[in-house]
Amino acid sequence: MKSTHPITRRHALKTASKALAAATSASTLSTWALPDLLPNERLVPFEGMPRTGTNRLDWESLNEWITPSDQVFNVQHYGIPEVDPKTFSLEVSGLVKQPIKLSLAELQERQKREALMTLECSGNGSSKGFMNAVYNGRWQGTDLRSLLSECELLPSAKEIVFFGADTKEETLREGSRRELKVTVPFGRSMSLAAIEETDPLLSYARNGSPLETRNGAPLRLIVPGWYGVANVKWLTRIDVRSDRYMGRYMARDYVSVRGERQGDEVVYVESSVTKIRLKSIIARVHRRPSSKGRIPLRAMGAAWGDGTEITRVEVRVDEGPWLPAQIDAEPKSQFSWRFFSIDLGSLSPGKHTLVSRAIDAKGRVQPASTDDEIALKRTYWEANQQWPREIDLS
Amino acid sequence: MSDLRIKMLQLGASFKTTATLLATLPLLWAASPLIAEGTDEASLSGTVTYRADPDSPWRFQRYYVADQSTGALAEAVVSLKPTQTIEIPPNDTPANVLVDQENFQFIPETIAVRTGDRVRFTNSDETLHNVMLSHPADAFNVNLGKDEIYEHQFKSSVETFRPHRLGCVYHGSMRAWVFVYDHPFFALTGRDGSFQFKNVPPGEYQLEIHHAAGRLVWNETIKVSAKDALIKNIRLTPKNIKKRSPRK
Repeated sequence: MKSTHPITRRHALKTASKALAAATSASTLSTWALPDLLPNERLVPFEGMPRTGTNRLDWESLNEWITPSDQVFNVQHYGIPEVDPKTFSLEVSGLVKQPIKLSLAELQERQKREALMTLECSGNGSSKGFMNAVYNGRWQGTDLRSLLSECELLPSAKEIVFFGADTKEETLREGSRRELKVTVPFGRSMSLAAIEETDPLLSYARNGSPLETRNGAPLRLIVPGWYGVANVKWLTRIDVRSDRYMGRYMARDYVSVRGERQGDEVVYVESSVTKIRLKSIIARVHRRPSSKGRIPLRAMGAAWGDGTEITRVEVRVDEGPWLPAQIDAEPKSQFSWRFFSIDLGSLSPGKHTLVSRAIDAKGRVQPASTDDEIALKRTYWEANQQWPREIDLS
Repeated sequence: MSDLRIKMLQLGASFKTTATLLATLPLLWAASPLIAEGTDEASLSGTVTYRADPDSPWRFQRYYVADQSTGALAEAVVSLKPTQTIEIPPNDTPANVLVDQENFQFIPETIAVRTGDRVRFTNSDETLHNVMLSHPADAFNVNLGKDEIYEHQFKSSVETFRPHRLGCVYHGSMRAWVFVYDHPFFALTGRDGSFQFKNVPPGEYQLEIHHAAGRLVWNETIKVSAKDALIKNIRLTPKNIKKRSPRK
């Protein structure tokens, strides 16, 4: 039988050229950072915000484009498994002509590729208690599509399921007469079309160092432009299937429930959490000594999304007009955040509210919390609403 | 729901507080019982300060060093760990310590208690919170709605460098640390960075400092002689920032 799926024929040559391009791009990135405080400036703390601890992005000290490890979050639902890299293997099975099992060393011997990406937990920003779960990283690994191509997907292949080494006993129909307990691995799936579009990476290193255990060592999936949950950690098995995978984190959790207006009615629609939604936030505010009773102020922050070009970031003070911020030209990588800054002129003493919003090339505007996209959302994932910052210039 | 979980209204409002973090700290000190004074016993007091280095920024400084000119370090736990057996009186008057959850933060974030002391957790937010600790002797996992409380009497002591870490399962950024000792020689620094131990039996000790939230650690062996009135001013620097395990 002839293997006819597109992913089986296209990618070997493309992968080699892309790997070279990615490596070149990464090596030319500057060590750019958000500007430090000037000698006559001081940081304006945000009012009413809890402290930021370790393993969370510290917005008020953000200055590096690539996030340092001690500000990188980890979220896991089935605990953190210890996977021995010496005995580790990745298995590709299911609807393939050539199943394969590769050790870590064999994966590392394959064509290397890098991916730059801002990785965000889809719950990030859902409350003050969880709003620093985002970071920018540079992942090293090897190409997923090439591996799938070598395995020769059968024509019936439609969906790829990624399983981690982390497992848990799940209870289905809890409390009913048909309650069922079953131990399952953590899993997420993607359609072949989504894999074509996102070109995921099988990653064993971040920022030049082996992955940390808490972040999925020895191997994780990196899906540029998709929320963290899709980036399966402790990846040990890839299963090629013809039907939809309906594991907990595809079909029951990480399912957004959002109201959509249809005439006079609001109809609730459930959708899987996949692509990162357009977002921005003010990271820092600097003040200079007051002059004639007013305080000169500048603000800076970050904007990111699913890889669609971010064309504008705007900032508003109190109920004033939206003002255009300057988006830094470099460094720039499709799936990484962009840093922005804005000189806000001089503000009166007292309390103020600053907020930013991003706009992308598709014309999408980061919503306010009162917009339907957020206000009619009944679940906490995909929390990309504008985040007002309260400051006190007394 | 735990039997220990009771409504605030049933207890009255005596433990309710909206005080700030630092205002709650003296409560801990006042609650710590002292060893009965003996003839040879000594005292140890001092301050903990942090000296910043612009080349090695410690990003938590803005939370814990209120006065940059003195560098006084708040919320550090200072303890004396005996290297020999000493007689410790029982905890006859267990303290009551309150930990609130307010504005998505445990307040205070760090407490130090003796075994037998009671810690009452409450929630001043409108949001549902939770308090969770995984430990063989002191495990709990309790949801707390607004103004509900949960009380826990800590049974087992911990090492200064391995305190209990509490969390809220609903809000991953919330964290708190509980240092539990089987002796009274511990202190939590306030805004002025000071600490004091009275009635210390003569002997050799490890003087240990752990700032759990800021990941600072320090220790030194000290000898305490009869009737000493030791003063120890300890200055921490970026070299005291706890190193991360490279693969964890």
